Amino acid sequence: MDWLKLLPLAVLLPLFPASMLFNWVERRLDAPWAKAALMLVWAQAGIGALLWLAPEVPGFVSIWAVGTALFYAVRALVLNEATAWAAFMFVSLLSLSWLLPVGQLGLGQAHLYMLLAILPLLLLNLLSGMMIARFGSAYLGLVGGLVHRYPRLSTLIALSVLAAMATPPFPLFFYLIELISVLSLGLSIGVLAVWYLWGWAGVRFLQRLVLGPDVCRGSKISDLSRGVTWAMVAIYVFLGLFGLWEAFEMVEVG
Amino acid sequence: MRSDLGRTLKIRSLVYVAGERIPYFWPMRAFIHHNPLHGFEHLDFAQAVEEGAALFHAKGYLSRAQYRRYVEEGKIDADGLRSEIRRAIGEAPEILGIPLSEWALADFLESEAPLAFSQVSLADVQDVAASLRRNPMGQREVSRGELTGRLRSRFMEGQPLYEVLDALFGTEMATELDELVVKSCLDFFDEGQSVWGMPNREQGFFDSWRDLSLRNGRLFLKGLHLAEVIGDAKTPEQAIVHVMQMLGIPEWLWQEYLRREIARLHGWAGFIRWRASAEHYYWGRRYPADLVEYVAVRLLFAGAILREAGRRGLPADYPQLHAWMESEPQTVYLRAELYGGTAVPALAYPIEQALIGRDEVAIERHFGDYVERKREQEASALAHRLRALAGHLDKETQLAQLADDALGRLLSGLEQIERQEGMVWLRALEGCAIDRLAQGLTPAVAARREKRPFAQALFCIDTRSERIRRQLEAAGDYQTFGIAGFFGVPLSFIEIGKGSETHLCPVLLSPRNLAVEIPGFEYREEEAVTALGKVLHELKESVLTPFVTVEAVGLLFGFDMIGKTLFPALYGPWRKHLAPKRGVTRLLVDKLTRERADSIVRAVQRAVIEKAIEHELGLRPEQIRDDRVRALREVAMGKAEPDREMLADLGLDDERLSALIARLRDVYRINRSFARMQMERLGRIGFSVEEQAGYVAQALRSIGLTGGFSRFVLLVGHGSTSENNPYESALDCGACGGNHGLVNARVLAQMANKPQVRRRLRQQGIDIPDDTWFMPALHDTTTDEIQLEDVDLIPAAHLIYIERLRTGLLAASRLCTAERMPTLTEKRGASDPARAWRIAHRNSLDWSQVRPEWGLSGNAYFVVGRRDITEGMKLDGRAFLHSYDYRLDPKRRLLENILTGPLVVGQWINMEHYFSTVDNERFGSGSKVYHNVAGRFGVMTGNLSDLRTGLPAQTVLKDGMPYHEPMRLITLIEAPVEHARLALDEVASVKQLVHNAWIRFLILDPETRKLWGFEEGEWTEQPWPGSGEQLDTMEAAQP
Repeated sequence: MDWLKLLPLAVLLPLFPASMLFNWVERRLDAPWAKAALMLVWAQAGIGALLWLAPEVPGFVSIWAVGTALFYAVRALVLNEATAWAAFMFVSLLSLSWLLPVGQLGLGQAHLYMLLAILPLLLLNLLSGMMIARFGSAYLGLVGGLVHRYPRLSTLIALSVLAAMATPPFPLFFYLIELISVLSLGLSIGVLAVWYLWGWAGVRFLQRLVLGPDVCRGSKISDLSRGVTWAMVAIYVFLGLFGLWEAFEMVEVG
Repeated sequence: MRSDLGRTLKIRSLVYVAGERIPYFWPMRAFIHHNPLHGFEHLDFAQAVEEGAALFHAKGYLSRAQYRRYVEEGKIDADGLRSEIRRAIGEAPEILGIPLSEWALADFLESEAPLAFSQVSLADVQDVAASLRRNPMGQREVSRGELTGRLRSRFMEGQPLYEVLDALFGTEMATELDELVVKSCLDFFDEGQSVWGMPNREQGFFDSWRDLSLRNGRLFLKGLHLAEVIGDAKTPEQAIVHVMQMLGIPEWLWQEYLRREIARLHGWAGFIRWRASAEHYYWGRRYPADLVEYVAVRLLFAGAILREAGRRGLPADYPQLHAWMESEPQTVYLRAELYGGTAVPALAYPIEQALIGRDEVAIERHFGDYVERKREQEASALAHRLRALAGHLDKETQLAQLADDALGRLLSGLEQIERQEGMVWLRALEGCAIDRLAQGLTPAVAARREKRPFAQALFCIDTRSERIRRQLEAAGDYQTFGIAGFFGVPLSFIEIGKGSETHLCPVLLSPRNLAVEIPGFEYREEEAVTALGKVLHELKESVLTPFVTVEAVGLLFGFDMIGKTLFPALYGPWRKHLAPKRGVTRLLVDKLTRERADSIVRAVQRAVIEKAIEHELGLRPEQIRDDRVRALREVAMGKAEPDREMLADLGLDDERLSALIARLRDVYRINRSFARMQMERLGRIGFSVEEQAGYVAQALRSIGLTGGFSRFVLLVGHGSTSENNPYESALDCGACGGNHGLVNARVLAQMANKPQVRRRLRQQGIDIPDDTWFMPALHDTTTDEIQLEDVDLIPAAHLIYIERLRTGLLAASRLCTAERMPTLTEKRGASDPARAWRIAHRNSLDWSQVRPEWGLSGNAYFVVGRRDITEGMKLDGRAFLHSYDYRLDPKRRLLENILTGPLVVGQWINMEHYFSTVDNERFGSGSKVYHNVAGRFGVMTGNLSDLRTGLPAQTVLKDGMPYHEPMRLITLIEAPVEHARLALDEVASVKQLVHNAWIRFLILDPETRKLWGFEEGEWTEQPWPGSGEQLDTMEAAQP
């Protein structure tokens, strides 16, 4: 077992307790755009290191990775702050990278897939920044029922969370399907359990932030501008189309 | 645990008093408009709204933005608002040379949102001053004692424990508890909607629930060990005592605690209260339940939930909570801020992490920082709003230089006026409405008519009658009157084919007399097509239907669905042919003589005995002779003994004959006591001639119609038509107990057309000409159609005039619809009579139509007086108009009756609409779209919620904004002021309403030409354009 390769990867593709380093750095950054940038760099570094080092991943590390993903998915269930939620979902997602069939991935392809997989969480961070600018925080309970007054913001948050939950037609859905198809039964069940928890966490998140009672009642604060809204919608449309293309590819190959 | 009689009574009285503030909720099959704050009417209106809003977590007034819209629309004027502000503030000093009232006026009219003093908990005047001057705030610590005091007053004064824990830990115990209670209530109180009912409901709510709960595995798996909590409690009183003691609630708080418990699901509580008081309610007699049992069930669930919370480490009883607050007030405070949604946003997440980690050092550090930031935030927000306000008065610069004491005076003055803001706006709105009414009143009384009108029509006082009356008066020589929709005849009614009685009178009355509908000459029995309809309806209710019959009958239902969804106007009338056309019926209104009643009982008994013989002995009909039946009847009634001849005749021995007789008595109820009961019931049928004359005379005198009768006197009851509408009854006549008024109209018409009655009336000075014919009719308020009834009874000589009458009614109906439709729809051409008529009919047939009509929405006025004073006014269907002539009522009895009955019903309707508008989610019933029928007596939102009381959003709101203008009922009595005041003094309930300002009361004195209003305990003269004018024709108009 090549510890020299595994240890740095355990930080970059977070395995608990090394995952605490990412969270520590993430908490030190105040600006949501900085958190998004951190995620982008960390994930790309992680996937790049994985392909470059290409270690032989022992079975217990795979289990450890799934365990880490489960742990952070469960934590995400009870989080009330939007950027923290995005961070924990990020760690949960990234740790599943240990299960990827490294030998079958090209470098460019891997970087692209990683970007598309984490893009919804990056955008969620940017949207959290917009919420903080408007309401002072992105804390569920202080901000909620956005759909009543902020339809554009609500729509984009909903799209981000749905994409982060790996719902179709977004690419992450198809990546997970492909991943499960190559894993052993036990690991597949583990990944499915993680997926289930993402869904639960996402629905809870949406229920409190987007739906529910109008906590922002009385605020005379404007919704997102049309320009920003259309730009982000365009990104999601692109993601959706890409996902469908992935599906098409899967069917063809299958 | 023992609970002696004294304790039991104490608990029962505690619950009774705690539940007094909860209004009754009647089953929706006969919707009754009611005042949701009826239990607060002993208080002044403003105080009642404040307390009611606190108890029900609701709002009592519209928002400032909504009232400002009224200013833009001209429904409130600035001068009126200014004078109301001055009235509320009283004497107040100037600040920066501007009266406090002008500061307040600028605040109300120019500031988007209130200064919101209620959101300021820590910042004081010095902090605000520092913020205004952009100086740093001074240091100030919040002492432990002060903090604990605040927390105690917020959380330890009778608030249910689970609510406190939800507020401090972000749990959802209150929601979980409400769901469990609602499920139990749905199971027990179901009235035939469920296919599978709760077992053993005859034992009562508490006992049957207790039986089930001790064996409820699902609750046990959720961690709710109900058996432990129930313990030895056998009665609901024991259970209440046990749980309250288990939770450690001090006895002096029990009253308040129980009041808040009951108020959480005030819909269910109101229904149970009503049900327990309705002695004759079938379901209540069959499955008894009262509020004490409800509270016991609720508390037991709460106890189990709190116990489970205690196992998780939460402070789940009063002593623990109290101790925790005393020992860790900072932690409690931060929790309250975080989970109460009032935390400083930037600190929310770090505080949450510190609380989760139970890091005392971090909590203390965060607390100090938090208090400073919170003070700063509050002071800054308040200073910002104050600066904006000063900017509207060009005093922004001077504001920053204002001394602290002056600033304090300004802030406290504005705080005081903002606390009364709702009331100020309301009075301003009402003031303008009163002015509009006063300006439209016509002082002169019309000259006596030379010729009698072509027809006279008595309409219900319902606001929807105002339009049709105006259109009918304009259509031809018609004279209209307003009278309570039950026409002053309280009666119980058995419809043909139904076995139960319906009370057709205001719910405040209990009818003594019964009217029965019997088939006329061509009444047809049920046909095969209705049998098919019945079978299909029953199939829908069967639990097996989806598995068996979907393929078979699904197409039929699909056809029906497409038809009534896409083509309601065409399909609806065709579909009605599935039900047979009702033939002619008659109403039994005359008293039965004793002989007649006896004959009916005998006939019924004979018919039953014939069936019994056929069933018990297997004899064929031709073998059942009349004398056998008679003999058996005599024996069963104890009037004769069986003899050998009877035994031989029936082929029975002694034993079998005795058994048969016993079955006739016990099962078939051929016995003396039942016969006596039947006689009593038959004795209730009808009215004696004296009663009939009395009712007719009272009805006519109450509206001032004692002479000048025309050929036709129409008695127009009203009802509505809609599809798929649980609130259908709310659109019918409230004076008829939520039913249509046609039956009462038919009854009064039958009475008034009787020669014996007219003879008695003549003796009383009411001379109805022989050619006057009273005719019942029904005004469908959804389509405005007026349908004449009992046309076959019209005397032949009148038939030549019927066409003219029908034409006039049709013209009035179509013009009324044309006036009304633009308020309902933006469709082009809605004000064209023909198009409006079509739209109205479609609305009545469309099952997807959530707003078939506006109903009583918009009601504002209640006018009691002669039609002449309002004849020239277009009141837009906003006024209850009750005809009254004070000159015919020297002893004020008629006026007292009007005040006691119709005015109170009007006030209930008005208050129902008021509160449903100001807070549709709490006092109203929310959107109809999410409604589901519950138990066949109410609706819920979604699949589990409190019973929705009040009116739905579609009735009082339009596009999310109020359509109904929420105001108190503006009541005007046209009579000499002393006459009206003395009548008011005699009716204690209405006097209380007036003195406590639930009603705005005005008197128009036609003799002195003055308008008086009751304000703050005094009668004051109101400005009126008509005062001082000469009454030219008053003498000529003397009766």
